[in-house]
Amino acid sequence: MAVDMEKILSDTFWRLSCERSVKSIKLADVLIASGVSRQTFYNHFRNMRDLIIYTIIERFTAYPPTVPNINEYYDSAVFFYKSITEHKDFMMQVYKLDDKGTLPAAMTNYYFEWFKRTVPETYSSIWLPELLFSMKYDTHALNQLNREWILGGMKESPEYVSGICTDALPPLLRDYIENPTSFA
Amino acid sequence: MGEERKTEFAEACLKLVKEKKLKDITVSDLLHETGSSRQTFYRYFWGKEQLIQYIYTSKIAGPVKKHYLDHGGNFLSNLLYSYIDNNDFLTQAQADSPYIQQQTTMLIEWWLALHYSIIKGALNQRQYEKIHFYSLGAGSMIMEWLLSDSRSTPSELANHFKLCFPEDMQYLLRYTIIHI
Repeated sequence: MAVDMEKILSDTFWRLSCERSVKSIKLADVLIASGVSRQTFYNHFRNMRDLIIYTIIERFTAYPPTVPNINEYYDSAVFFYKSITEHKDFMMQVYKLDDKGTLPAAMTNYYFEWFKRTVPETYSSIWLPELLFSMKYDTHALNQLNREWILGGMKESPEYVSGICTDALPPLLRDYIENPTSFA
Repeated sequence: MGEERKTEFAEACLKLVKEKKLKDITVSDLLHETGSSRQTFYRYFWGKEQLIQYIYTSKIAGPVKKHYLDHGGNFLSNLLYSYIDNNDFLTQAQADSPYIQQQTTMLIEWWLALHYSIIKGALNQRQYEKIHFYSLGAGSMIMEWLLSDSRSTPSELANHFKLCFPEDMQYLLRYTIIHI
């Protein structure tokens, strides 16, 4: 069975982050704790930032293969925000360290790629560019909102933030989520 | 008088950014370009960062806002055209700090809130949050668009944006004429 090196490194980083501040964890610490060589690390990640992004995606995001309906969309948002609040310290540290805003950008790409994969092949080619633009726009807004919410100390409840995201879906994307085959 | 000196430094910076990277432009370069003393520069700005903020507000955001209040027209397109004209400056300033993206978001929020409040009165919390959500998306996408090699035209992007706004907002943007 193939060894999932990325998961091993990510789990090690996660374990270390439970014991000490994220800022104090250096690459060398992860390598010693995991017993992985530096070369192997670089075969999988470019740097610590990549490892952190991978860890967040791995820990906090689980997208279904098809697009959820509007109620499920809201529920999955609540689930996502709840899981973040359970690791408030970790998330706040990570976002504070990200002064260049690479984290929302990486999350945006990840989320957009997932959204794109849910589009059925039969979807109308006339509306496809607009739909993809709406998806991109929504993922940008969502990840900037998450950043603000996390850095603001997560004062609003997961239900409240999920309500905003669901309410503010671009019209075409809302139509798509409500009925993905309607433009086939 | 103060405004003239500030403009001089702003124009010198915009000129220099065509020749070298923004992060490599020093206060000394600006002094050399304008023939001013160091003391004069620091009388108006506490550092290069503040000059960058001044350039954004006075040369880019300010004129677009003023033009919209005086003449109406397509705010988003005008903003994007102005961004293209100042592409070098904006992308380099954004690389160093998120200031430009934050300001872009605020500018779009201002524009959307203006429409909403004229028609519907003061915004409630929910409406404000919705507007904020759309502004965040637009601010972030505009930055990505500026950095992209194969970008669409400002008018195309502005039209795409409008289709993402909620239907009532699209209606307002189409039919509200701003006269203040």
